[in-house]
Amino acid sequence: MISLNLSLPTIMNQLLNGFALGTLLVLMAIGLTIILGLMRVINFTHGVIYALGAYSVVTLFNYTGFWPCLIIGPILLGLIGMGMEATLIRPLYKRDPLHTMLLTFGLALMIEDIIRMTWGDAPYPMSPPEFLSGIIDLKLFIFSKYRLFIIVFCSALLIALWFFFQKTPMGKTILAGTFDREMVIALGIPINLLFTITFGIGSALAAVAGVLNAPIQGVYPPMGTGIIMSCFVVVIIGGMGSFWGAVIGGLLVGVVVSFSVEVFSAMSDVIVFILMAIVLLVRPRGIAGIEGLLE
Amino acid sequence: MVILFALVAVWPKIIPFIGGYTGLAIEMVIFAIFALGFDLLLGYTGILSFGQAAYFGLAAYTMGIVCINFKVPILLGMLIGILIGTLAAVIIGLLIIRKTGIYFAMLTIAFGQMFFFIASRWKSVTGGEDGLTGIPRDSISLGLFNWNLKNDLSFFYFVFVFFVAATLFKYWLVESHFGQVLKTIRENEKRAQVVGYNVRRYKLYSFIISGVFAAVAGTLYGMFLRYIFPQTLDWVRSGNVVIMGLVGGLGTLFGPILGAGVVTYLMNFISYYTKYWQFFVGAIFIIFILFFPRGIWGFVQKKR
Repeated sequence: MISLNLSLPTIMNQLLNGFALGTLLVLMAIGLTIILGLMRVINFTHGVIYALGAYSVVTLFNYTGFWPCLIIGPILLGLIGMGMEATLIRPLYKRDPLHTMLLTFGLALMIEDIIRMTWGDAPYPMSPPEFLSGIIDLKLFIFSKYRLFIIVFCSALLIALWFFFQKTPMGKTILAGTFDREMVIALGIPINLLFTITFGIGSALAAVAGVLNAPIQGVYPPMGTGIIMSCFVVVIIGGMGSFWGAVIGGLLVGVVVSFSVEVFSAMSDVIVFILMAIVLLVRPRGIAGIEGLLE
Repeated sequence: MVILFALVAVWPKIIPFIGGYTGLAIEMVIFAIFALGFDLLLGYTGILSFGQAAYFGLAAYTMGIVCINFKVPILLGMLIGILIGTLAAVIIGLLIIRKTGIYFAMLTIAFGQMFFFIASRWKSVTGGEDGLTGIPRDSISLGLFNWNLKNDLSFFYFVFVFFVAATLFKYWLVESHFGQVLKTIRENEKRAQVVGYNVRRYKLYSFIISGVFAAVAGTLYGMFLRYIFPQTLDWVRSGNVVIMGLVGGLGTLFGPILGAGVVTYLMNFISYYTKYWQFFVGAIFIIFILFFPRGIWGFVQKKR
């Protein structure tokens, strides 16, 4: 059950896997947390958008290869996300936040079946693009090239996102809105548009994660439901509405899950929930969250 | 309400006219009990739990394990199942009731998933992914006479007894002082606290009672299928009962019953024609949230 066969190569390998998974979770968590922080919407569709991102690779691969998917997928899904927000979610803002959450839950159920309808029930095995598959042998330990790529790519994207939120007007407005929505409205900024864009960005980020993870994880219809809980855990651990919280939370969860697969594999499914429970009971606002955001 | 009971009593006879069968009728009533409990929590107290399926499944599994391995008679097995399910609700409730809103909901999911995990992995006790087969449903001896439950129709009336009891209990609860306090908490928790009620305690009681309903429904479900499997515990299953509550009408007496009936029927009906029932149920759910958030019964009530 518990295997403590932890040699240095194994540790390094799992650390790498953990960071790869972690950076993906960070991307998704940032998307989730800005939607949550600014719009107070608990977005259950985040998981299925991730799945759609992965499936977009399946469809587009034969026409364009892997790389364009990284751009086309997220843009397309960002637009779809904005469409969903504007038509279905927006009417519910005046109501109890429960309703928006339930709506996204219903949407997630629908979209998962849409995936089944379009691509079938069977999983699609996938593999990384040619020049990124294989390993780098560093004598002491080995690295999977593709996972390294994920870490590099996501980190770059993260830096770009940080820049966006800290330096660009739109980004700053979104960030400000998560702290003080009323003020943003009072300043005359069109809040509906901002919401739609935020939702689009969030969805696009989920899609990027989906595209990136597809070659490793493969694609299968319930993959959205599988990942959404991990995303929520990251957001909770990091703190809802916090950028750096999502970063730390994502990396932490990624590493913990990777190690649990290695050390105590039977538990790896549930470790995420145990973590969630501990954090929620002990310090619900997480590492860097805003206190009482959703009480 | 008498009309309701009369209607439900003859339901197995009517249901074939709309393409149903006794087994479906049984399922509808079982989930009605489950939904009634859930509605107490969300519709009357204003607390969302996405983890009620945990008590549902736990009770079913417990009864199954006890009856199969220790040859315990059915009624006693049910009681043990319900007790264990309720105990879980008590423990988890005590642990998490301090938290509110989304934190609370997430915690219910987390614990629900832990149970799901235990059910899936503890193969020796629960049968793992394959589930637990062979839950008995023979005869129960009630002193004077034996009641053979093997037959679907007679089992329906067995379930019916619990349904009547559950509905009456719920009615009594919501009309009582306890129910009024719950509604107060739903409307404005802080104000209820300020006026002097021990909000936390009321919420805890509501949570536990809801768990009891879930546990009862769970044991009945286990007996109905004669089999129980891990998926009865996961958060998507809990989501189903949320859908039933909303579609039927939260915070009303008949709403959850209606909702459970409609949703169960639809799931069954749609599965007959397409395997993509999730799509349609999701779509119906969305339509209701957008246009009929008060559910069928809530809508009807408004019209009056």
